[in-house]
Amino acid sequence: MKAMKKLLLTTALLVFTIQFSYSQAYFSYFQLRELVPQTQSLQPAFIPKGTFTFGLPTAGFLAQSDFKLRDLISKQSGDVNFEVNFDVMLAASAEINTISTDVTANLFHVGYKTKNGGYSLFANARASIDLRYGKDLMEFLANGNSNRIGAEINLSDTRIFANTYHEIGIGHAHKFLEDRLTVGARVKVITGLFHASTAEGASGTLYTNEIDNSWRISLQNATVNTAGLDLLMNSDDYESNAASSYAMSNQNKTVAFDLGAKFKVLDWLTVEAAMNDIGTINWKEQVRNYNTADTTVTISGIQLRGLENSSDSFKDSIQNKFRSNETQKEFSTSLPMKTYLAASLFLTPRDKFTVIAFNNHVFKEIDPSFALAYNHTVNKFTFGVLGSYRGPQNEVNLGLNLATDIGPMQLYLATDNMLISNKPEQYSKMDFRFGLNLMFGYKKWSSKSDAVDLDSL
Amino acid sequence: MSIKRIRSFLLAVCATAVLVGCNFEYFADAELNDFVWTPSLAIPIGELSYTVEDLFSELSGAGVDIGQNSEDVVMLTYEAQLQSQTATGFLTLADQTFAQEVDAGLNINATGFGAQFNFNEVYEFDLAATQNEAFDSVRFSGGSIDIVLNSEIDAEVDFTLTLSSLVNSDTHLPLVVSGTLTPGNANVNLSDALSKYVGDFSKDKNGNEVRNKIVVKLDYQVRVSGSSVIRATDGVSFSMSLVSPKFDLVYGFIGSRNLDINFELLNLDFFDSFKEGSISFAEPSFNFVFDNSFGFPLGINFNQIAAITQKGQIIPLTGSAATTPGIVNGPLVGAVGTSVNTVLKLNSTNSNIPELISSMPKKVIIEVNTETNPASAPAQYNFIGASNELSIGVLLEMPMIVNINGLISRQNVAFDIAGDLEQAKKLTLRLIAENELPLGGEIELVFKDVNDDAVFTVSQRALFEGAPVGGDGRTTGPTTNIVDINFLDADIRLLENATSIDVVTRLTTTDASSNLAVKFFSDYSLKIKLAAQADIELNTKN
Repeated sequence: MKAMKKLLLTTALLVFTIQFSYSQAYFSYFQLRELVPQTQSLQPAFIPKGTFTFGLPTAGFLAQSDFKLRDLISKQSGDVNFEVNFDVMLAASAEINTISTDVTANLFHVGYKTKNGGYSLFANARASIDLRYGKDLMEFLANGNSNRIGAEINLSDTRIFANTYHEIGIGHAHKFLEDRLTVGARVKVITGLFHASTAEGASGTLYTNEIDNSWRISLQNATVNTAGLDLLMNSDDYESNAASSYAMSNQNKTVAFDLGAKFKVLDWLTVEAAMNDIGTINWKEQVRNYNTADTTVTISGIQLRGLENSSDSFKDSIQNKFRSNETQKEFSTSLPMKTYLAASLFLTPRDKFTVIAFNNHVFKEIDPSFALAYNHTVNKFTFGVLGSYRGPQNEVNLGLNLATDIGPMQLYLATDNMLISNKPEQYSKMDFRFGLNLMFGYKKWSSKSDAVDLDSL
Repeated sequence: MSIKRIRSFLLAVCATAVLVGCNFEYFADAELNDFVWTPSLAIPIGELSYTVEDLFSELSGAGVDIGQNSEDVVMLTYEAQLQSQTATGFLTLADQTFAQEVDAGLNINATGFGAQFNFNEVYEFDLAATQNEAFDSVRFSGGSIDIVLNSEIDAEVDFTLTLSSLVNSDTHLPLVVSGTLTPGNANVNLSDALSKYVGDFSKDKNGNEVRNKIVVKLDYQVRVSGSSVIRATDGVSFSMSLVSPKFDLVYGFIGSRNLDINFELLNLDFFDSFKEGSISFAEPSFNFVFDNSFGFPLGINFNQIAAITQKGQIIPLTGSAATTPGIVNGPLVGAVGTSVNTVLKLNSTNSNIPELISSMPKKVIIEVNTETNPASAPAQYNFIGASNELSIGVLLEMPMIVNINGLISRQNVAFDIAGDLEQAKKLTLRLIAENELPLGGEIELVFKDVNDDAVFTVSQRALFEGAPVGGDGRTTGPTTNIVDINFLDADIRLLENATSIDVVTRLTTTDASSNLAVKFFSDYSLKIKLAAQADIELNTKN
């Protein structure tokens, strides 16, 4: 009976801690807050509760798009096998679409808490790919241009930003104003490894003439900057240890910052803000720029008389219209800065509603995601579920976050879509964070009133 | 306590799992099919750009040159060479023989003492003329001169025979023959190559200017012995023969000679590609081009010129050109080694040539007679060299001032892209014609397989329209015509079996029905843009 009671309570809490969000973020992971030291990567003002924390290597993964998995690998009616069908993806596309993947490996995290704050030393390896495209691109892939004869296909919404780097840094958070204000900052040395991105302002349009089907192509800032990719794709051209040497150290270094603050406005209201990955990588080593000069060209075919090899002539005539080259000029890219804004309303010291806004500045756009969360936290244990609503597909996700200390060992996991295991094809987002930490000195900082006997719940 | 926490943690995880459950049915036994991409692409293919010259370039293969006249009207010209006439066709030198017998006039009957008598005689001979020829000189290139001397005199005769008319080409001295005739050896035969000599027949023995004269001087001395018996009628004789004489160069007058150039057959293959319909050339001309290096004029009579149509119909040349001889001039004596070009033009003013050419003849029969030094030509001092030649060519000039009505051209072109059609499921081929020519065209495409059987036909349709013609004879502006040819999937599958296309083109000039002849200026062009809209299917499996 007691167990049943706990189960019902747990279920009720799970239901009530639904967080509604339109998100691209690790919202559920964010909600683990002070209990999990690695969340400092999202909010530097989080101060872990243990005196000393040692985080074992762990990884997080996020993949998200504006279409569901069943749109990406669809099935024809009656067919058991998958197919990649642009028509299906087109039907699922919004005017602007994004595909994002993020992999973060926390190599180590060491935290030390003081009376007025805390210190941390950390190292991460991070990789992300963000693709943004307009519906025109997908329509072109699905239907070609026959539906746009006499009209323009605008590919200017297409952007790609792929980054791989590792970082090592230190963090410090400090309490002020009788603990009402906490300010945190992290300084990290970043070494860029691999990169590919479209240049800022890159745009392209394709107009198909309604009479002769000629193509008028306009390109501006059509440059793709890369770094490190030649090392991967043409590894035979390099010494055998070139890749490992490059990965360990190269000239693509910068210093970046994470900043965050929490302020207890009232006893029942806390506001907080965090701005992460503030910095710019100046890519100097292993740089390749693939450039096409600004131009507007009309492709109207080739002179067919006397033609011997039409395919080569056609290809040559198109290539000759564009002035393209490959250079090795260094370039700078801002780190994909991420911003969290949150306001928490405490019903009790253990129960709060939180409104969170998140923006990924990868394409220098303000397109925030929002979440509304109810969270129940007890001393060394928190759990919750995440409910998110995503616009274009009217998709509802339920998330989960759990963390508990078992002796000095802390287990945690977080996902924004815990339903992914039940018919994953109907979802468009998958993320997962799981890790182990060694936490020491927890009791030193906890009041007896904070201690919760789980058995009493 | 720790166990309780693990239990709580697992409880929460399990509770979640129970609530959520696992269902990967979508992925069960599923594999990823080959990627199939089925876009519909609207693409430009290219442009076929034709000038008037390009349009008729196929005629070039049949020997037609395409250029333009002084008004920039496109001109089709066809040139052919008829049989050339060499010097031997006009003149051969006949063998000539000259003989003379001379009585010494001595009457001696064994007088018992010796005596000596000298004689000098000069003789003239005329070259035998067959066709009124009269030579001033002949530079021989072959043949021989044979000389025979005979003595009837019973005494030794020392002689010297001088042929003043045969001058050695190197020494410029006349041919001199000398020797002694005795009663025991009364004959002397001598022979020499004529090629060493130039025959100068322009002076008589007195140095007067004449023609066809051979002058021979005979000097002889009779040495009479005491026993010689000589009658008054005894004397010496000589004969000279020009045997098989060949000439290098002849001056004088070669007379009036006829030469027939019969049944020269001119093949006009360039009309072969036009099987049906009509084409009328308004201003064609048929030019006979003579290059004459002979030093005399020629009269030309067109005995017969007739066109044979592709259906075998014979259309003879009529008009004044058919009956009036033409004159072909030759170079004057001061221009030996050069040629004089003379063009005898047959056109609409002197013949029915437009009718002949517009019949799109397969062949033209030409029978021409030439006459040297015709009475109608001005008198001219003649010469003829062995290397002289009368070259006769024909030049057919056809300015593209034409009326074309339903002229059908059939061409078979290879179709070698059948393999590339496999990925096409639906195809619309668009042809956009921008035409500056006063010529409209309808097209029919018959796709044929390797057995020459039709597998698919694109029915006849207007491909380009003739541009309207303004008052200055030029077109006022281009016409634009768009044709869409649709191929459904089943049609394309048929095309995959095709190996060639019969391209049937029906051409009609602007206002052809009103018999308007339009001009094709060289700057006109016809541009046909090709575009396609294709539903394709690309499969990674392939």
